[in-house]
Amino acid sequence: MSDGNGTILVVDDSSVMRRILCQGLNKLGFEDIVEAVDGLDALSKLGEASNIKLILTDWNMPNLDGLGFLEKVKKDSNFKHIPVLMVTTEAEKEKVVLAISAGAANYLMKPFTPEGLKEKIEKILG
Amino acid sequence: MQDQIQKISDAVEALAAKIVMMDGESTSSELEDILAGFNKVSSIAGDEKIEIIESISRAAAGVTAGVMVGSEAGGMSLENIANAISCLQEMLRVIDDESALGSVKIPDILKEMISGNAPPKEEGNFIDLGEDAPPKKKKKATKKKIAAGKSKVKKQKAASPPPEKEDIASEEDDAKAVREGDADLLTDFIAESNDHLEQAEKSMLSLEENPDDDEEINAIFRAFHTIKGVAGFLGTTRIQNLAHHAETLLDKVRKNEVTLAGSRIDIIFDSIDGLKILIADIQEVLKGDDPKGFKGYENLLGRLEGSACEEDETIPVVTSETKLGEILLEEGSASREEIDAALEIQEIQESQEDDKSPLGEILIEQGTVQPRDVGKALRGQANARKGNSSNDEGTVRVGTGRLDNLIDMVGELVIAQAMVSQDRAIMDLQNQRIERNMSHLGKITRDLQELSMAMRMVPINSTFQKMARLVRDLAKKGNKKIKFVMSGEETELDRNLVEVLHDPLVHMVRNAADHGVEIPEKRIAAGKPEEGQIHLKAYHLGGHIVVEIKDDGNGLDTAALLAKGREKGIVAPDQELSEEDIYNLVFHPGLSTAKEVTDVSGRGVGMDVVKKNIEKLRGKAEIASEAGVGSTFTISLPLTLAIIDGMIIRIGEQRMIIPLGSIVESFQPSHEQINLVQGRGEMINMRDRLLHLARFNKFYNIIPDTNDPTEAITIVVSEGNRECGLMVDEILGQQQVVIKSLGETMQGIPGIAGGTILGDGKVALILDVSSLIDLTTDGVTVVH
Repeated sequence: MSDGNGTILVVDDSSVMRRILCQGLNKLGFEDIVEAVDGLDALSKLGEASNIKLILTDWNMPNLDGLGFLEKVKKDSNFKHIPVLMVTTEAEKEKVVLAISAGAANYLMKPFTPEGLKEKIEKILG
Repeated sequence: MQDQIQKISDAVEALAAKIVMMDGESTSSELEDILAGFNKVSSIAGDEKIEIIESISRAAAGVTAGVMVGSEAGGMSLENIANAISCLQEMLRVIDDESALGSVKIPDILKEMISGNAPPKEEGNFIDLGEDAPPKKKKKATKKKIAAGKSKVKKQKAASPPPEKEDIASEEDDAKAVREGDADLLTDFIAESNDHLEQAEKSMLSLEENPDDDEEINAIFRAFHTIKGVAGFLGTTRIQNLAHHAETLLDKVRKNEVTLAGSRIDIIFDSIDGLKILIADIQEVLKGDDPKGFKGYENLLGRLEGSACEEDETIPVVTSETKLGEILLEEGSASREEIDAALEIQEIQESQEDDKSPLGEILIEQGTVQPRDVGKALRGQANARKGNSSNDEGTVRVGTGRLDNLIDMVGELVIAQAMVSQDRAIMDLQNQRIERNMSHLGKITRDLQELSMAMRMVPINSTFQKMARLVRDLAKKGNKKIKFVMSGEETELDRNLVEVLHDPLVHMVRNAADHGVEIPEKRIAAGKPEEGQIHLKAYHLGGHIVVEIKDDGNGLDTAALLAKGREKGIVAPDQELSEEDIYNLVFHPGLSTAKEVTDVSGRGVGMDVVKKNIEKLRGKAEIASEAGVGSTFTISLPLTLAIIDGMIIRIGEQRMIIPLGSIVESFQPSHEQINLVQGRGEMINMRDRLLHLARFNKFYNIIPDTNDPTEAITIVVSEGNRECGLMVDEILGQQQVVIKSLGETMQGIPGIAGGTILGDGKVALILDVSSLIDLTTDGVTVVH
């Protein structure tokens, strides 16, 4: 389902988590991935790359958390059209509502299966 | 624009059609579609700046998500989703009539969510509708009743927070998961988790100082949270469960439901330790060994659970003081004039009493700023500092062995470069181009050397953290109150030294906490504050890193030490010792290994080993003490073990290197300056100070050019507060030299620290100034 054009931005402060996400995305055929370690880093990565088509972001991060990052993305007319997939945990399910009403396209509950990831991404990218 | 509105209408109609088909037993796939529908509507409406439609569809998407995750919040129902769709339909029908649009009834839940979560945007305008806007399609709103109240949605719950029975996941299950898992990922997980735990430990310690620091609490929460999240993927259920329980407790702390104080602090520390054990077990399994296991696991889970429900204990309030004018200004808590006025007061105070109050205090005193705002600003300041440091640029983990090899190779390169550039054949060429290129090569080599050295430099911080923890545990065990203070924790040193420094530090900190700081009753009786203090301080000094361990305990008992020294025959009965020499007895092997000394003086077990280990690294261990006031141990180590800046000197045929950091000055004495002092040997009177004259040639049987000090050069070398004058024939120059060991058999020769290869390929010895001074002065009691 990868269409080759467009990069996926993966935001997580845990390098292991980023690796898990990247591995999952690779398996789905997405090779073009940019990583960021927190919301602030993600904002600067957004500024650098021009063709980001999807953002996967963690919630709990230092400096700028996932929600803060999401709000900034949705306020910026350059980026607001980029769908954001919030990666959360079961314990944060109340926050999912917050994230979605703040503009996140969907959420992904950890730990997820490759199929779960595939399903969510397919839904978002249509 | 009409097209866009048409598109919105179509999407809403599709949603309406969908929701009609759904009942209480909706599937997650159907809900996904609904969510996607709302996303589409809000996205188009957003592009067209139709604020109201955008925010309603966003809120509706939120409700949909709430239903999907089974949110416990009120209003998360299919019914409300249907209501939202009806509302959108209604609005689209009257989209060209602003007043009618305003009167469309918005479901309460959406109103709440919009006002609560999506702050109105400043530039947001209603759509500017053209005169000829065609009438919108009219369609009946979906009126089908949806099962009222909370709808039951079939959810595939992903591995939810560990239910009770899973808590007893066996070690074997976890070990199996590790054996079958991705070893690379697991290794990364180990490294990352340990980083997180270290960070959490650090945050815990600073929380004990500042219990209200939200950022620290968040950092600890994140540590557990991340470990839990990744452990879930790796199938290490025991780690996941423990991290989950700790996270739950901290989440309550974060939400101010409970405070992090008293026994909870211990429990969190125990959880950190527990996770370390479990993570170390992964390593064991990866190596092919059996996991060592964690016995207190179930007990700890129980304590964590219990603690999350317990009542609060009271917590002490700590204030901190820093200057903060800029922040207050920025936040609008104070005006420029007010802050300037306060700064002026501060200046006046300073000039009058040289004891100024912090800016915040002045501002509060004057009633300019609320204490709360000052506190907030201070916290912000602290957070900002932290924020900068945690911004990492992406890292690669490299094994230290490889790093050491690289540094070794660069060392060889430096030597090779020197050999080439100093080669007669090249120097005789007198070719400008070659000279220029050689100097360029030299510069690059030096830069490379500096770079490679810097790669191995790490802050001493993590070592200090471990000490903080140690002090805390020891204080608890000994029923003492000890405040642990560190400064200079950002000071960098060679990574290899970090490990070497650890044991001596533990030893000294343990001594300070066990025997230095008294129990509260004693301290109060002695008129000291109840809470003792151990201060760990690091700084750079002349190519060395110095670590001080200072306590405000009862100090060393000099009388007891001296008596013991006499009894053991280390000090001659009639020998008079200076204070300093008595303290140094602590490091004497004959005395310090004796168990009784601990009972008499309260110090000394194994201190000789500490000193010896440090000296092996060209370092020094010193002690200073004042009875009743406290003791200070000082460890000083060279920044790096590999390279020193050296002065090349010549005595006779021999070339030697003196570490540049030890050289004070050099001069040629006159006859009048040289005296023979009874019992002390040859001394040089230098500006009314008597210096021992070291004839190095005598120790090593070198034949110098001259035996007359007035014809030779005297180099004053110092180590700590001792110095001597070293007689040399010639100073040849200054150079960075790579230290090479002389090999096992040549270790420990007094006066020699090692060797190096000079540019011409010949070996030169590096002088060990400290033991050279010992050799020369020879009057020190400590026997070598």
